[in-house]
Amino acid sequence: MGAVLAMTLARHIPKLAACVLLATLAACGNDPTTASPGLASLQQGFAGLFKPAQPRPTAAQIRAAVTPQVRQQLGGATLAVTEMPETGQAALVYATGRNGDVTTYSTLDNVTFAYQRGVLVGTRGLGFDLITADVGDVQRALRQGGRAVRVHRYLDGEDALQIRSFICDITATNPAREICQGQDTRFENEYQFDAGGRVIRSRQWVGPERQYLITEQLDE
Amino acid sequence: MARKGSVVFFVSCLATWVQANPAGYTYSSYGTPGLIDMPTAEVAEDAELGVTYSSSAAANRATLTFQLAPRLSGSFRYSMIENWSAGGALYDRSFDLRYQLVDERAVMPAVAVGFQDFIGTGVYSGEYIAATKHFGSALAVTAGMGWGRLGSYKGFENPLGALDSRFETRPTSRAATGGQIESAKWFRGDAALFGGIAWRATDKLTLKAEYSSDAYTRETGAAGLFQHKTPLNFGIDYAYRPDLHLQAYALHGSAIGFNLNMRINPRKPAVYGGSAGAPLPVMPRAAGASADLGWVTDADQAPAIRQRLADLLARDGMQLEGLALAPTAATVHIRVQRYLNRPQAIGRTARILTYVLPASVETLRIVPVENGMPTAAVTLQRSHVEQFEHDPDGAWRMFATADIGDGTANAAAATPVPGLYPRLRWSLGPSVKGSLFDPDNPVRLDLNAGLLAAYDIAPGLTLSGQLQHRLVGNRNESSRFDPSALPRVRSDANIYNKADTALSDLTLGYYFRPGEALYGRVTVGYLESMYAGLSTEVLWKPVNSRFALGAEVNRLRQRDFDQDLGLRAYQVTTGHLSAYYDWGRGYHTQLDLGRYLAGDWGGTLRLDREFANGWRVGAYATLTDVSASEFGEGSFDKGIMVTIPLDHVFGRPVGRKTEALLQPILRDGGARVKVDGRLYEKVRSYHQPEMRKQWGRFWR
Repeated sequence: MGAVLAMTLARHIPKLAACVLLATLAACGNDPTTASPGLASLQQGFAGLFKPAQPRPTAAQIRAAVTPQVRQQLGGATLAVTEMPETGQAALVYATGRNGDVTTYSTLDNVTFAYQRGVLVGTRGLGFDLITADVGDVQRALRQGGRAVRVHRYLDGEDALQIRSFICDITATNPAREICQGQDTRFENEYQFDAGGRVIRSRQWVGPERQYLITEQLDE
Repeated sequence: MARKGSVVFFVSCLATWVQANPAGYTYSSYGTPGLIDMPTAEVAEDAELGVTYSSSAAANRATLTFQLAPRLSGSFRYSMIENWSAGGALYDRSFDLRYQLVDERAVMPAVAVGFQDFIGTGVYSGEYIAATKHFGSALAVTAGMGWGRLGSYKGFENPLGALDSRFETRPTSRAATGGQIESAKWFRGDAALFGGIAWRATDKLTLKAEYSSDAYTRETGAAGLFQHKTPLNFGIDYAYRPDLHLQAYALHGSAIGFNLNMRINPRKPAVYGGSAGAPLPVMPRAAGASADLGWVTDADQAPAIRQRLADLLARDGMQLEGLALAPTAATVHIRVQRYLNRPQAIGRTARILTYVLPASVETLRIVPVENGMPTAAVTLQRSHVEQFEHDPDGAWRMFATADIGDGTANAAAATPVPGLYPRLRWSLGPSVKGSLFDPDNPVRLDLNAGLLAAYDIAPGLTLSGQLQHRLVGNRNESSRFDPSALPRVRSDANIYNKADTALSDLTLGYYFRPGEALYGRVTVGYLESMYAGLSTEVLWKPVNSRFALGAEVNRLRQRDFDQDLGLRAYQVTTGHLSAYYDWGRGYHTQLDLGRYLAGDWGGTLRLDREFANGWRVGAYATLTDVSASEFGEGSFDKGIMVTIPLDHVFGRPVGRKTEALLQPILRDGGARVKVDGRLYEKVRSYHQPEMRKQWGRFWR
């Protein structure tokens, strides 16, 4: 065991030496469970101060940048552009999962959006995520028009699921409009369909913190 | 018709009235919701931690107030009063409790009863009953009656004297050491009236005026700190942010003071649900694919599956420790590093398994491992994982169909991942250590460079150590010597702090499962900065139980002051029987009975309020056969613990918590050895009822 330990130690010496120099500024090591995350974050924060702010791409720029080569690199996955007017963030998303009639799209930095036949039923990685949405009623009303109840679930600060439900009036035109009223919230969703009845562009409400998500399919 | 309209109007008026009142409270110079010096009947938001520092000629006070329950709050205060005696300034620790008897209704005011400085040397001791009524959303009016310090200005004969003439005189403090609950004094002696108003002029500005019943007899008398020209105080509170308030006030017409008040609510982390990256979506099996058992005979499959699983888990902050693969069932042993929320880690593992396991595997058994011990076995059906991923009530459906069992049954079955052991983990980084409440210098801090290393020899067997070197600081400057009637088991802590380079600990630890519901630990070596020896522990904790029992026996010897490998002469055997109970709603108790470091026998009661996101605020008290006079200042050992999950601070999963222990007085009675890795905290987060409380994040 002694020999193994010595060898293991020897393997770590160069990293250790470099580390000594850095130690007063930030933590380092090979173990995420013991390294100090606080100072590392602080250091990243400082580094960020001296970096010029990168202008974030707009939805239009992303659309323009999607060339056939990019599609090929992403393995020919179905693509879309998402935009959150609240933060001004736009991102290219690609389909990463399909379970029944729900398709999950992911950004390159691992935020996902799940749609049941075009209707948003969940987000992950945004923070204040929409955990689930019961939109069975809404799906029916999008074809026939009328009134629907939708039920959203969110995590509260103590990791318990909180239910918010809404009464929605839907006009089944193209684009279809859905006006929802909850206890203290009101929002308006919009869905645009192609000739085959598929949602190609939508503006849907995520939740009270994140507000709206615009999704536009990028077909070849 | 008209009549109906007016009723509706009246009801909606009431609604706004009732709704408007809670938000506007501010903290007093004593660090509790109140006016300037005087308390009100208001309560802070449930679970709020208020940290207040106030400074005036009368005193400097630092107060931590915790809203223990919607009606009950507790405060710990450290105060400094200049010129208190010939010896100079007085450094004083005090504890308060406040209970709201009646909450505010449409007509009735809120009523609260409070005990200020109810254990301590009694400098601030006083009791009160206060009533507060809000008018509209802006104006709050308080009136109250105080005893003790709060009955010292224009006091009158105690009205409670009508019940019993003993109420008319307040006995003087019995113990010079403080620290005793002096219930014999409560509501006795002269009483006086106080009151005041707070007007919330804007969202940010609150103006306050009060009539104080505190004569500040000694401060304005012998100490000569300021003059009591009027009973009236005036203040202005500015909310820089809702959680950060600044206050300036005029005290008795001759002094000015300032407050800084910060509010933290453990129930409100920076980002609800956290901002961790998304999990992998479930990969459902093709219809009929599960019948294919062709892979079972293919010998190359298992190592490839294991490797792929290990890679995907590692990307999500988990380590694969073992895998057992059968035609229709799989058992995976994982070590969770990133997610303090255990169901979240289980849910992510389940989704990863849908990518790597052959389609015929239906039963997923996930075994989280801590220090080599399987802590639980969570059994899920793969078809449920596929079915409930986007189900509106998916988390509860998953919980209803999951089986959470004891981890022992599957301990041997899983093939360990080759190459995991031995393994060296290390980290080098700064750390801050503090010593509080030394009257020569109430806050001493060191910035240390620390090297931590852990060498995992085999599952459950780890050699670990920590070396600390002071880069800058003043914890070595204390030269106090507090005489003690007991063996000096803790009172020499300041001499230990003089070591510039210290081997904080160096231990060989072994963790094991002796049987179902049983957990064991043996730790030998330099256990902590002051003690070395052997520590053994056994815990009984059934996976679905709110109740647990533990036993610990330690054979210890005191370490050299310079914290190298040497030892001193003092030896002792200590040990405890412990009972743990989870009352629900986040309230936990722990009772330890046994022998302490100075050879004294007694018990420790610990109460905690814990939040599902990892926050924990608690207090403990230890009573042993050491008498109050032998113990010295404080009379018995007590303290406050605050555990903060770093996830809350950074808004992303870090997988670690930091614990702060506030021990007002460190003495030799009721002291215990600090050993890393006590078992209860290691295992209970994977057990019931913890798992159910946190299950909301299964699909996060």
